[in-house]
Amino acid sequence: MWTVFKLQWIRLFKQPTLLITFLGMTLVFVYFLAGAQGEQTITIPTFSETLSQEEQSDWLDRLNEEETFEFIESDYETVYEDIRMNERAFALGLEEDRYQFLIGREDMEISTLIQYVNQIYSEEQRLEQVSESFGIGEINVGSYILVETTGRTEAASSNEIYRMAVVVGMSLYFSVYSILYLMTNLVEEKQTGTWQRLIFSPLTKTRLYAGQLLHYMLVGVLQITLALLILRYLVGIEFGTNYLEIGVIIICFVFAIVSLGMLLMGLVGSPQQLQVVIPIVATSMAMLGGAFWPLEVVSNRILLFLAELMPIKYGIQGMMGAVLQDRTLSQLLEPIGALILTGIILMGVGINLMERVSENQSI
Amino acid sequence: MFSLIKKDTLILTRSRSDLTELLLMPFILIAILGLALGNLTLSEFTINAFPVALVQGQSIDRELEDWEEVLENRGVPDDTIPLLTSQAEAMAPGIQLSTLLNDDEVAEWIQVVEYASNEDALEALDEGEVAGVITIPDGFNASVWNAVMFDEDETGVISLEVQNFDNVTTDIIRSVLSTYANQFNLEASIAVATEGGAEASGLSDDNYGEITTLTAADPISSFQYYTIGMGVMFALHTAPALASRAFKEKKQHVFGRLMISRMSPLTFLGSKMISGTIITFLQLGILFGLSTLIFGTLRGYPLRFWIDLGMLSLAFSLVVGAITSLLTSITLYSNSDASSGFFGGILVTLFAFVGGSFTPVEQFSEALRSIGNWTPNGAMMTAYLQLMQGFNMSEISPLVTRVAGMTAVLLVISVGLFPKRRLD
Amino acid sequence: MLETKDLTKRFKSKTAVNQVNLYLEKGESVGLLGPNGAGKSTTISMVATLLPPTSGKVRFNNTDAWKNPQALRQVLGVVPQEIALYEELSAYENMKFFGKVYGLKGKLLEKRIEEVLDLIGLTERKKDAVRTYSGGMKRRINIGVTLLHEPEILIMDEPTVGIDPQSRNYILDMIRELNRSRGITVLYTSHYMEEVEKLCDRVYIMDHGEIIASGTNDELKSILSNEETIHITVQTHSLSFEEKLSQLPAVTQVSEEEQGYKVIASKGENLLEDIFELSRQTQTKITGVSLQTPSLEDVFLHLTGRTLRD
Repeated sequence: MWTVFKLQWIRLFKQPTLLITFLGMTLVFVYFLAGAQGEQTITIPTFSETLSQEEQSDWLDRLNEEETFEFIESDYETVYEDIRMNERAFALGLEEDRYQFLIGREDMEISTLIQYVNQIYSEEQRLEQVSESFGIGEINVGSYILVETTGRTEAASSNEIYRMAVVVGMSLYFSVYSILYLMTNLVEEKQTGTWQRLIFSPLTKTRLYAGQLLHYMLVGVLQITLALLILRYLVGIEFGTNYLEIGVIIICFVFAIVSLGMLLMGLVGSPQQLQVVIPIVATSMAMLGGAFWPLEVVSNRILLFLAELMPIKYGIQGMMGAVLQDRTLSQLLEPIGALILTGIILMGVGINLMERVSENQSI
Repeated sequence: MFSLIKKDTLILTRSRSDLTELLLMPFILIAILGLALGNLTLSEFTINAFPVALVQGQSIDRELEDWEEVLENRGVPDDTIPLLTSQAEAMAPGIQLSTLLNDDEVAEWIQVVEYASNEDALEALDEGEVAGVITIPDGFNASVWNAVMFDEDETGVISLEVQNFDNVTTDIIRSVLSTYANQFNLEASIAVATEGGAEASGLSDDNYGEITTLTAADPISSFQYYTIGMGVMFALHTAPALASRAFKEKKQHVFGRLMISRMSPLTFLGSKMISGTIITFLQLGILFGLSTLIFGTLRGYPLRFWIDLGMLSLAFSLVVGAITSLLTSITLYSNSDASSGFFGGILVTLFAFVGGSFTPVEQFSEALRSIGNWTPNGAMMTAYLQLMQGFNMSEISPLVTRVAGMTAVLLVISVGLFPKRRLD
Repeated sequence: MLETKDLTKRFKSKTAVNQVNLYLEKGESVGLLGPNGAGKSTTISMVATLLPPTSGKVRFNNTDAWKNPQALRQVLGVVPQEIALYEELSAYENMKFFGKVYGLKGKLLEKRIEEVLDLIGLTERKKDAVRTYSGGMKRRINIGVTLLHEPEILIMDEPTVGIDPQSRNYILDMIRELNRSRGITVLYTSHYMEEVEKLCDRVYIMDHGEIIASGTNDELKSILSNEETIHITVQTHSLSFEEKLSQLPAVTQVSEEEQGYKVIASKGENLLEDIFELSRQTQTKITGVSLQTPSLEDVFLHLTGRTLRD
């Protein structure tokens, strides 16, 4: 088993392009993800064609009283260009008693944003009305009631969670790619005949599979670890100190993905077909499992059901649980169990298919 | 040349599974997208009502009793106490809030579950049974009354405890609570300032604004956005898929045979480019066509739009063709399928990410978006979006020119890399 | 020491191997001859415990090999038809890996690698990636890897496909050497008659998944003992001459050759006279006649009516 395991590593190191691509891509990918950490809040550029600069900045102060959104000053030309080039989805136009949203494309945040701006406008309107009809000066709005929101844990109390989920989801998604692409090697070994050569050697099949699969698992674990290390030390994203929990989740996730790989290798016969199948499987799994957008926005029951079947969903859930909610292993049993169970089922079916395929091939 | 293209197309049509994968599988993704995001539109998005725990402090009767005591202690004349007490009861925010939370309109989103103790509620939160815990603490009303009536520096704090700070359910609960709090603060302030003169009125539901787009066209929906995103990503995947077929040809010595037949190596490369272009174009056509027929993605656009769409798709197909020939060169040069397959596959994913296929990247950083506009898929995606936003061709053309430039550069590199001697 | 009993393999509805019975004695060199697609590879895949048979048995030292494949695998060396090696690795690295798989280690492994490299004549190129080797060298290392653990039985599936005559002779000599002086039992598959004739003591002839004949070279040829092969060279081919030839009572088969005809006929009749008579009748000018001792190729032709390379 270790001989096979070691050989796969030697082979990996014999292909410098592959190795460099592998490491380089991880680095670049994570770096881009890290760009993800640049902005903490959603910024909305504002412009006005009727208000003076002073009035505009008064409005900005009023709008920026709450910290959910950040309104910044801009002008129509810049905003127009940004939206046209798809660099922004929307902008806010301010006027004395009206506002105008300039929208290029819909965004998940926009309905909350409109609600927020509209409320402020209606409050201002009402205050003005009252102060006019009673002939009193400016009314100070007191804060008699305050809403305080807290997360269950300290880490959960930041505004970073959505982005954290994206970073974690993307890292896992990326590792799915690497693992599946590397596993194409299994199909290639069958084509070149080295696989057969190993079968009629005294090496048992169990050991042969174990050696191969362990290799892919380790590559996957290393890649995710590398990504997390870069994020932690070069970018400064805190992942907490639940190393054990994070480790267990990563290993279980990678196991499930390697099993998925076995299923694919059993189902799809040629490396050429895998080139097409892998991205489709990886991407649809990521979409269904909520790596691209939060699953809460999905209301279709079929999709929600399918999401339950996606290993990546449990991977994200487990990682978020360990990092943000400070959960211990026993509290993470659900995602861990789901990952292991999926892994075992897929592995079983996958190996069976692989064996059936090879039964129809002679030397 | 034509015979080569014919051969490539023929091989693909013969192996039906390959063709299905290349042309139709992206459609599966679009279907997922359509079902997941199809109803996520600007004005409304549906979310199933989710349970939220509510923990109330003292009962209102108890608080009113305490309040009377407070009034007495303040030396309020006995005969005004009942008046102030009933005033207090009328404006008790605790009552208003629980009425609000059980209101039909709110109930569409939030389903209130009352818990007796904070501990029970938090446990339910940890178990994932409720999306958040709203706590109205003991003496909440009293604090507000004190502040409003006696101008004391006190605040009633409604606390909301959630699992994740930044997800959709949290946003909804928080928005319901803070809307209420803002409104109360506003009305109470007005009442104080006008000494009860102004009639309390709920904020009007008037819209003080409008939503406009840059041109007359509708804004782009999330579904349209992702359709384009997935479309450009999978078109890009065509390139490594075809390049790996070129490698297979080399393995089967077809390549060598072609080379010794005095065919120019560039003809071989050119045929790969054209096959890539044709297949990508078909792929995009099927994708946009089927998606419009089934999900109505691009319904209602005029003929002119479709012609422009075709032109853009052609430009994009050409750049994918150029990438195909580049990857073919790399594959034949390095004599390995794996590295270019891996490279192609992973690079495509990276490009797709930066280009905004998965999620609008500008919400991460604008720099990322600007980089994205320099990837072939990102630039084309922006161009498609511009077209759908109703810009005319003259405003779109800079990006298309950029893509055409990339096509030329890629072609030059692929010709340079193409192994002209090694035929083994 | 190794035998099969009614070995059968069906793929879906197609029967690839049907009730094959063969045996190998220790130290023997046995050939398995047949055209492409005859079921040779499938047969040896089952013998090599790669492919489970649909029915029938493989017996090794009188025990069922499929019950305990490890015992057989340890003494078995199989040379696959393809170059089943990690081409990005060097010959040395490949050998080291496969040697370890067979349980060799340390000094013994190094020693064996050296010996085998010497045997296959690749010592100088051992550090180069297999990818850079010529076809013949790839074939040699393909065999070499199999020899590391000093197998008692060597099963070879067309080990000389697609290489130049020189490399081919090298390999054939090497196998003969292994068989004669080291006593390795060899099962050799090929569709090249000459190879099998040269190399093997005993031959099985397969066609359409069945063994249609078996025996030593001489025994097989004695199938043709009452027949003889006559090559006739003519100036120009003539259809009527060919037709008339095949109508002769003694003739069993006539096939066209480049410059004439090959005739298989019963021995002892006054055939030559009849042939010359026919040539006069049809005005076909005979430029030469030769009698040939039968080859395995002729045996195959006799048995199936087809040539091996059809």
